[in-house]
Amino acid sequence: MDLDKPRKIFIVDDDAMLTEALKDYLTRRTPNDIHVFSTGEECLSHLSENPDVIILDYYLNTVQKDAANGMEILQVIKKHHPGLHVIMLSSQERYAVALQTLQKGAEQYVIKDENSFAKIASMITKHL
Amino acid sequence: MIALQAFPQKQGQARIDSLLQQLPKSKEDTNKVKLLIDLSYTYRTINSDEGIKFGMQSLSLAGKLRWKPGIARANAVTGINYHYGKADYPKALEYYLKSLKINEETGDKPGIARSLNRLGLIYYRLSEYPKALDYYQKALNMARKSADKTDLQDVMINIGEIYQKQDDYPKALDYFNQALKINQAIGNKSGCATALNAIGYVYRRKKDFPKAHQYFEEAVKFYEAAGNKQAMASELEDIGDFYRGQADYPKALEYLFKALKLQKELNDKRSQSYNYGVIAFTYFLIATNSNKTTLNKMFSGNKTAAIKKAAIYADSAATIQKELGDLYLLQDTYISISNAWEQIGDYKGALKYYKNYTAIKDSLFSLEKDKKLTQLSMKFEFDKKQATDSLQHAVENNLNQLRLQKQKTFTYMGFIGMALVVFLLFFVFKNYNNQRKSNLKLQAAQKEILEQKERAEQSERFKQQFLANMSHEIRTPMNAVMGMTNLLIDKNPRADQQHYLEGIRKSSDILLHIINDILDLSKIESGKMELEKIDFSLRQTFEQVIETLHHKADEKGLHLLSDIDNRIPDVLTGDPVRLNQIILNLAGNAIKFTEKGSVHIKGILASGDPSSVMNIRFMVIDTGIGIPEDKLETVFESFRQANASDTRKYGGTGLGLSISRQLVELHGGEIKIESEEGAGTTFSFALDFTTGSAERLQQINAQANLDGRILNGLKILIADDNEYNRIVACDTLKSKADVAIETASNGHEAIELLRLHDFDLVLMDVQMPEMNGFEATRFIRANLPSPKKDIPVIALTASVLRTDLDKCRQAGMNSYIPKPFNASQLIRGIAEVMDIKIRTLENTGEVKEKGPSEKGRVTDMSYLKTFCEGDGEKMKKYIAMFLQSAPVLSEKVNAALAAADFITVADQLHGFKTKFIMMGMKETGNLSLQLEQKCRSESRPATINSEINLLLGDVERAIIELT
Repeated sequence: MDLDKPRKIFIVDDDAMLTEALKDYLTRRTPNDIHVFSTGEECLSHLSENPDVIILDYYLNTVQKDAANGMEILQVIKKHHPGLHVIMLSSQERYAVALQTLQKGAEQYVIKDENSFAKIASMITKHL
Repeated sequence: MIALQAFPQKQGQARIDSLLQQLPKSKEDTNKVKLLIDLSYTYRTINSDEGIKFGMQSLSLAGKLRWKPGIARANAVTGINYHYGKADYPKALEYYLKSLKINEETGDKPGIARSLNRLGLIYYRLSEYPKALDYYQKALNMARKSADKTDLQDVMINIGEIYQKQDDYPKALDYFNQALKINQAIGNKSGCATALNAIGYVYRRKKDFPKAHQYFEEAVKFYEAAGNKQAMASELEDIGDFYRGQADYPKALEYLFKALKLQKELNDKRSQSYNYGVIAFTYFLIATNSNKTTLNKMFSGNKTAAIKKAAIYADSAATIQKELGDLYLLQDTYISISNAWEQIGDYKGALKYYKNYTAIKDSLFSLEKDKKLTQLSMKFEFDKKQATDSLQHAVENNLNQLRLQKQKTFTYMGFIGMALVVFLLFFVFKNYNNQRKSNLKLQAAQKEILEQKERAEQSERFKQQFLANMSHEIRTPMNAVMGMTNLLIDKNPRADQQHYLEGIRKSSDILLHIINDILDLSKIESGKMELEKIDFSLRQTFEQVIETLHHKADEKGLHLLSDIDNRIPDVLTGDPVRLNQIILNLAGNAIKFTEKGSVHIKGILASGDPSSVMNIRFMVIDTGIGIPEDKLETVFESFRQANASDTRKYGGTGLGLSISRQLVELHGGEIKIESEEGAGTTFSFALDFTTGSAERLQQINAQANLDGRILNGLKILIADDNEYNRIVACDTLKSKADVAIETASNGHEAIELLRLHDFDLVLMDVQMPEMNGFEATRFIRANLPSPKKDIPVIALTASVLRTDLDKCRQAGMNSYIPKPFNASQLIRGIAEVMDIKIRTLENTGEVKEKGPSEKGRVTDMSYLKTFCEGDGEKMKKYIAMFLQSAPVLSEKVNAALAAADFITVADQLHGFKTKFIMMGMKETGNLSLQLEQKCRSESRPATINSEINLLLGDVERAIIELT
């Protein structure tokens, strides 16, 4: 696997600290082309840019109440781009949620904790 | 034997006349009651109907006056009339019991003794010796307390008689001799005579005739000295009987005639008739005895002359008996006379008396039948009453069973026709005998049961004591082990050292757990386990269980899940410690026996609603090996696992499930198991709870994570003989607060130090050599000058027995802290006694530091440092981001809280998870996650606001630390 191959990565999360940190982390390890969106709708409008992977937060509407949640965005993405890799991010360890996202087509489900950045990085390098 | 010395009729009538004259003249009402009682008592042998009438009058008058001693005596005298006059024992019993009750109310000890004694006499009459003895013993105890010893000797005579009935001569003699001594001491001649007579009887039954005679003669002398002719005559008759038994007929006749003389003087017809009969019988014996010595001597060998003499006396007896209407005796007398005539060939005379005999027998037959039936139904009623009586003791149960059997027999008998009456009588007689025998057997059985009970109780006491000792002996060193381990862990050990220390801590936790299990089991079994009713959070309880077990589950790769019905309010009232213990045991057990899959803990509202009582069903569902159907019951037995080999494979004491079941049962619930071998097991139980108060819960929660610094500046004296425990207490306190500590190894040293220096508080071990903690505290309270004598003293005790804790209070200690203790318990215990306001550590963790972060800080830059690979600029960037967003968070959360908009609170908290992680605020992050879930839940705990404020406090501190 070519570790140095640059990948287009979309990060969708309304938590600026997370997006910033994740972007930092991923940029440092591999030459990635990272785009950050704070809402799912924003992300959808850039889907034509053909990202390699989308890292999508499950709870997207905590700041903007009327924003669509991660689940809805996932469904739209998979409807139009069934082959697109989506890594679901969640702050809660809930099997029901995990199962649901995987059923809807997400490739991975990652819990936000101290190790989540490393996990995401390893998923990206191993599987993409 | 003289049980009751009947008034001779003549004397009695005179007394009655005198009393009747006094009655109208009496001005005082209480005096009137006394006269009526006296009348009733005097009538008892003359005319019990009259006796009962006057008894009732005295009862009604005393009742009107509300004069309790009068009511008691009136009841007693009425009972006496039923007892001796009517032989109506149930009625007598009823009045005696009333009398007893009132005497008990007024605390009239002699009255109580007499009532108990009379009750004993009734049961004695009914041949219920164990019961009679029981009442006599109670009477004896009561009479001993009384200054007047007359009652005491009376009871002793009665007890002696019971032993004599059972052929226990040594015991009988013992009581009679005691009675004799008392009577001699108080100069009661009549009483002396009664005791002497009783002793004589015992010797007679022992066939020690010279001794028996000696006592009888003594008794006569005392009766004579007492001027009691009635009793003297009776005694003389007894001596006559005694000589007749020895075939010394001249001597027998001598005493009988002496008695007759007295009886004539007393105009005691009944005794005369009886005595005539005995004299006649004696002459008859002289005539018919194979030893002709007496016949030759008295009648020159003329048998006919002797029999004629017998017939004459028998005729005299018959005359009086006819006069008195005593058909029973008359019947006997007629047949005796008929026999006598027959003996000497006077068939005409024989026939005449035989005809008289049959005439009486016929009339008696129907009389007899009626009387027996009355007696039987009476006995039936009596037994029925008895059966409803107390069923307290196992022994009494036995007795009652016997009675019930009798009842059946009697009921059956009641339906049999007249033709069977004779047979019935025989049966009754047999039954009576059997009853006596079975009573004796029962008494032996009773004795044995009592002994067994005593032994069992003793062994139970030993067991309790052993467990208490063991608990103490093990807890004392455990305190040192656990305390020192915690101290070491707090000292930033190397990773490998940390690993070993954690091993020690976990192992000692397990050991303590086992000891507690054993103690709990023994507490439950001895009925000493008490359930608490305090406010608690069921969700917290579940969290605690998950927290305790998740490592074990993780090690086996199992999913440990928990679910609580949303309808269950967060604060409940109940016993969280025991509920936790039950669920922990069941879930721990499930993990132990599950290799793959999951263990799921559930709480479901089965019935009821939060406004009243809720029945909550708890379930522990596993996907483990299951339990074979035939083993379902045995898994709950102590020390048992489904297979013996399981113990080796899975470990454990096997007590957990047994304790769980017993705890559930103590709550009034029941544990159910459903299991499929190889597929899994579900343990479930349902308990009742009510909704609790959130404010109270908050107070309870303040127990954990205490800030030791509230104790700063205190001077503390620690007295403990165990060096290691001194170190643990000392260093634990010093690690949490800035305190000055002195130590002493016994009570003397502690007192000396107290004299020399000023302290704020003493922590006192209870068990110390030379002078223990109780003694030292008592000394301090009694002998030290003020204000030192009032210094707060807290007991440190490894005992868990309530009696020991009571002792602490009694010795003047202000409080106690159980060993082994942790830092929070120590801080809390001291703060409470010193009346210091408790403060919780805001970061919810104890000040337990791992890694390089400084004590008391909520943030830890090590993660950020690693994350940024030491790039200071980047670190600054993230810190700036945090500092920018954190005040916004606080502001938004506060606003949302004010509006009770918990969803917004949850959303805000949600967004902070990564920020907390980046700033190394792991505890705050976890708390945030929990609070977010709570905020989203419909059944938010009422403590949520204060919990959120705790979190915001962390954020504030982080801002300060990072600025």
